[in-house]
Amino acid sequence: MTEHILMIEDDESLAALIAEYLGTMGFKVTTRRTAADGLALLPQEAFDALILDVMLPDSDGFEVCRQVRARSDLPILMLTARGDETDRIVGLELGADDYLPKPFNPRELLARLRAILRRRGSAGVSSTELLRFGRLEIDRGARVARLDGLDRALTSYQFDLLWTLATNAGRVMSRDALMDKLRGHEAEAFDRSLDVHVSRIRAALEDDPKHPRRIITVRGAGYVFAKRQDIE
Amino acid sequence: MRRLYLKIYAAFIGILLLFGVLLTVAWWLLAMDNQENRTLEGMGVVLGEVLPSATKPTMTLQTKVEELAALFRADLSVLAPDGAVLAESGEALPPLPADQRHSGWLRVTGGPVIALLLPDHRWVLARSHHRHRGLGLLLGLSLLLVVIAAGSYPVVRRVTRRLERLQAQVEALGAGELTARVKVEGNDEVAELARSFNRTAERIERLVGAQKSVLANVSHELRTPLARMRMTLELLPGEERPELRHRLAKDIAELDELIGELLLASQLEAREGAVHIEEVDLLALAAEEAAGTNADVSGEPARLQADARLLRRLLRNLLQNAKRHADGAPAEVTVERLAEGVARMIVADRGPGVPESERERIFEPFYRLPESRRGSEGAGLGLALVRQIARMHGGDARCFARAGGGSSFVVDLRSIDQTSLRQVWYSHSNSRFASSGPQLPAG
Repeated sequence: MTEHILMIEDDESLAALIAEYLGTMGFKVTTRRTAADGLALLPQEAFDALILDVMLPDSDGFEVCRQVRARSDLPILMLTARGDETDRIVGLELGADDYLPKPFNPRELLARLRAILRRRGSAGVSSTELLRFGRLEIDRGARVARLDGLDRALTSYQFDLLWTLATNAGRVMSRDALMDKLRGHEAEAFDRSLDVHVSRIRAALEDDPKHPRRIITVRGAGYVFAKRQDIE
Repeated sequence: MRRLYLKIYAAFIGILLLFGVLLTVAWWLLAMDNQENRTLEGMGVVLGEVLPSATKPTMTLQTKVEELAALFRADLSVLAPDGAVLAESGEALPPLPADQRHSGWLRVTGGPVIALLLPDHRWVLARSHHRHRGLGLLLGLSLLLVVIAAGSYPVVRRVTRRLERLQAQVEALGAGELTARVKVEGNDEVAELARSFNRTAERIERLVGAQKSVLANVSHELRTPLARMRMTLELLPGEERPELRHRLAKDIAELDELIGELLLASQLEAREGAVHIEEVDLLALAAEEAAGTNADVSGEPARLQADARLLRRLLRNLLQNAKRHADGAPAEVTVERLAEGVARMIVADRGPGVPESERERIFEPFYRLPESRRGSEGAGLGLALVRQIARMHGGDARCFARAGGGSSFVVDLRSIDQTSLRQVWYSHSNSRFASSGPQLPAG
């Protein structure tokens, strides 16, 4: 089934480029230049998601977001040029599902679009059971890690190790602390050292396992799971 | 005395007391006035007519004296020219001073006595039964003083309270709270000052708002074409010359970075934009940022209350600076925990190093080393932002020569909260680039 995306973006050439790119990826994209046109079109056709620019000639993207959210739970991906993190919080509070600052890597746009579409399909997953870091998604309910929406093979122990690291993102975790938290898995843990498991996870999730960007070794201290990923 | 209201109040009370003293003095001077003496002499003459002459029997005089004493409600004595008492009524009055030659007031204990010289050189001494009236007057005046003092206190306090409120708002405005306004009370100079403050604050808020909206638009207008370029790059057909694509993607990212830095610099300059204070593990943050540049990270976990976004920017700028000048040799990042909420981060490279005379100046925006080996490449805003962010976090950034060649950038940081942030912003408002940041012990 082709998914139908509405895009409200005032820059025509950018809109055309995005439409073309997403078109090659199997999406159908309808573009409107103003908030008024876009909002008028919404009830007339069945859309699967909305891509929304934050700065529109006739309105503010946040306002549009609020209005759409008042009527439906259509997945919304906001495009913004403001690097300020407050905008991100405001966008998400008003009901946007995700946010992407311009200029973005097109592949990241695709990954996030797929992610919000899929999440809408599996509604009811609480946020404490699902962690997202850029293109990476860790779903505790399904015990699955996905990169760009695709499942990555991990053993049960590796998944728990990943989950432990991810829930402590931005903090250095010593090997002892990690072993301590994963004590239930002794049988498997005996087989190989923690470092081997980490390199397996890296092989599954890192773009370049030799230069990891998600699970980073801190010499003499342990590992840290990067809080900000896939941000160039 | 430090407080203005105390000064005003003290001056007010002082004036009141001075007034009282002057009044008393004036009274004394008036008592010696000739005019009053003449009146008293006149009274003496009249009394001489009224009182029976010295030739009449003493009984007649006594009767008359008692009659007059009752009439005037006073103690009364009639003395012979030599001072002997001829007749008296009521309490005995003190003797006439030997040197008394004219009618006048005798200032003696028990209340003032009036001495009147009669034409036949006899004396009449009189003291009013209401001799405590003077004391009563003094008491009354004192009471009045207390009442005025108590009554004027709130008035004075009100004036300076308004000034204090105004001062608090001026400070708030200075610290970046652009919505700071003061309530205009009354119609005097303080109220006028409050009004001009409000007008000024409004103007500043409008200007900053306009600037902010320009910046937001600049960001949008510049980044949309960048997004187009990035998109076009992705859609370009063919797989030949991947390194060119890669370089173009890097250039786009660099432009985006530069726009971000310019915006951040102006935001920090305007004490604008929300600062998100959260717990940050400096070592983890360093490891995360260093992973992108192959830098080597070591040290101990150090937790700070800080703005993670700004610290990332600080570290990224230092790492980029190291990379730019060290020909790809990896930088070394060390994190030290100096105390609870105090940390030091050192970014060391093996580049050509910075001459001693330039180690301060490299933190100026868009500064370039005079004999820059990289031709046109300067640090841009990078190091200026590093220092600005470090100072915002209660510390500083400095550059040292590294043993064995290269540079060491030492960044000291402290935990912050909204209050300390306000203080830092306020105290650095005039000397942001002066080297006055709080110094931590050299490690």
